[in-house]
Amino acid sequence: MNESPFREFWKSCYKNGNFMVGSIMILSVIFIAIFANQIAPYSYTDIHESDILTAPCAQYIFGTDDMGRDLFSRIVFGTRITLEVAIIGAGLQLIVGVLVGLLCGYYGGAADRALTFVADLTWCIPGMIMALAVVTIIGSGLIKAIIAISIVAWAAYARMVRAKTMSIKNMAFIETGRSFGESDWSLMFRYILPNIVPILIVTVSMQLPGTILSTTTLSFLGVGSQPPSPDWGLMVAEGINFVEQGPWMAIFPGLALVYVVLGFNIMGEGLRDLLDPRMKSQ
Amino acid sequence: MRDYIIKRLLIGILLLFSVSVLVFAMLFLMPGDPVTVMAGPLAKASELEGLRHQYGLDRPIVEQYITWLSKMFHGDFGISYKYRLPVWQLLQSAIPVSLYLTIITLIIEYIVAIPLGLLCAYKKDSLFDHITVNVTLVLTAVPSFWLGVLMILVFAVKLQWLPVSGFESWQNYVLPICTGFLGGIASTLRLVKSEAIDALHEKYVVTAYAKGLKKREVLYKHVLRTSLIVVTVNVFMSVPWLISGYIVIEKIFGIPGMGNLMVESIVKQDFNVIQGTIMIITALTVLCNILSDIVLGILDPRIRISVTGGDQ
Repeated sequence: MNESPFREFWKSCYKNGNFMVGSIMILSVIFIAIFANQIAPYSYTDIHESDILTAPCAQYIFGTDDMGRDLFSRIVFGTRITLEVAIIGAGLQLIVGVLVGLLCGYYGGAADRALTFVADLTWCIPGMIMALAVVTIIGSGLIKAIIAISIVAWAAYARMVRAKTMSIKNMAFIETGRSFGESDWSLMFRYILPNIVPILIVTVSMQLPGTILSTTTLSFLGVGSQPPSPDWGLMVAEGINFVEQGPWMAIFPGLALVYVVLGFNIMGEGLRDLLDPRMKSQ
Repeated sequence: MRDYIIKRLLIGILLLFSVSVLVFAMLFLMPGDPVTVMAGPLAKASELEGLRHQYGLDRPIVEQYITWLSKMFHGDFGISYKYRLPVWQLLQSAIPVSLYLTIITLIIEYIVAIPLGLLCAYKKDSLFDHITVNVTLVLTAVPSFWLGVLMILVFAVKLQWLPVSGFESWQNYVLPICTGFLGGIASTLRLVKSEAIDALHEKYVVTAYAKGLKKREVLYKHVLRTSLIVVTVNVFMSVPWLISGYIVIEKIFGIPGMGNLMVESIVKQDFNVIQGTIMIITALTVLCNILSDIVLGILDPRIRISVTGGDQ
C-alpha cells in the first residue's frame, strides 16, 4: 500500500512497453556512441585502397564505400554526431523556448504579443525553407545546421510553456509564494517551472525525432556536415551516386537513422502516457 | 461572416508584410557587401560602385524596400548570376513542376487516407487499426531522402521498371510521387482518424444511431461529413508544406522544381534566386493559411464566432 512515489513511478515505467522498448533502443545507441573506439574495427577515415566498394563480408560487415572506408565503422562513429545533434538541438530549443515562454506567460503585455507574433510567424513558414534561409545567411556546417533547425523549432516550446505558465500563475500556491515575498524570478523558476517539467520532457521527446531528421536532411542536401564527417545524411548522399555499384553505401546509414528516430518516437509515446495522461494517444 | 473574413485578411496582410521584410533583410544579414551578394562573385571590383548605384543600394533603406517590393509585384526578382537569366524566368518554369507534383500527391494521399482513417476510427483497437497505426509510426521515422534512394534502388536499378531520374515522361513522376505519398500519408491518416473518432462521440451521431439509421448511412452522412471539414482545410494548408517537403525529393530524382532550384542556388550562393524562391514559397504558405482559415470559417460557424465574438 505505502509504496514510495518513486518506486510506484518506476513500476509504471516498467509496465509501459513503449517506454521500455524505446529506452532500450536509445540506450543501445548511447552505448555505441560512448564505446565507438572499441566497437569500430577501423577509424572512420581509414582508407583501404584495395577494397573499394566491397560488398558486405566478414571483414567489412556493412561493406566499404567508394573510397574504401569501412561503412560499419563510419556508422558507429556517426552515432556520436546524431547524439550531438539531439543534445545540442534540444538544449538550444529548450533554453530559448522556456525563457521566452516563461517571460511571456508570466508578464504578458506588449512583449508577449510581439513574441507570440514572432512565434506565429515561424509557425506559418515551412520549417525547411526557413532553415535553408538561415543556413544561407550563417553558412553551412553541422553546428550551424543545428542552429538553423533550432531557430525554427523553439517556437513549439515557447508556445507550450507560455500556455502552461498562464494557467499556473493564477493558482493559489503562486499567490502564497508572492505574499511570502518571493521575487518574480523565483516564482517563475522555483514555483512554475517545476510544474512544467513533466510536459516539457514529453515535448522534448516528441520534438527530437524531427530535429534529428531535419538536421540530417540538411546534411544530405550538402549544407550540414561536410565530408569526411560520418554524418548519416551525408553518407546517404554520397551513396546515391553509387546506387548501382554499391547499394549498401546508402542503405545502412539510412537504416541506422531510422533505428534512432524510431527509438525516440517509441520512447516519446511511452513518456507521454506516463507523464501526461491527458495527452494520451488515441 | 464579413467581419471574420476581414479580420483574417488583415492578419494575413500583416504576416505577408513581415515575411517580405524578413526576406528583404536577408540581403543585409548576409556576410559581405550587399553589392557583391547581389552581383555574384564574378562581378569585377571596378564595376561594383556602378552596380551599387544601379541596384539602388546607395539610397535610404525604406526606399530600397519599397522599390524592391514593387519590382517583385511586377515579377522582377533580379537576375541570376549563374544562369544569366531573369529569376522570374527560372521560377516560371519551376513553379508548375512543383505544383503538379504536390497536387497529384495530395489527391492520392487523400483518396487513400480518408477511407483508411475512417475505418481505423470505426474499428478502433482492432487488428487492422493496430497494423495501420504501427506502419504509419514507422513511416514517420523514415527520412524521405532515404526512402527515395530505396525506391530508386528497388524499382529503377533492380527491377528496372521505371527510370532513375529525369522529367520527360509520366514514368519519371511515379517514384517521386510515391516517395512524397509515403512521407505524407502518416500525418494525414492520423488527422482523419482523430477527427473521425471525435465525430463518432458526438451526440448527433448517437442520435442518428438511435433513429435507427444504418451504420453505413451514419458513417457517410454524419461522421464523414463533419470530419471532412478539418480535412478539407488541411488540404489547403498542406500545399506549401508539401512544396518544401519536395525539396529533398526533387533533388534526389533531379526534377527541375522550386526545391531543386532553391537548394542549387544556396550551394552556388546565387542570392537573387534564393530570395525569389523563399519569397514565393512563404507567400504561398501565408496565402494558403488565410484561405484555409476562411474556408474553415465558412464551413464551421463555431470558429467564425470565436474569432469575431458573435456578430454574424
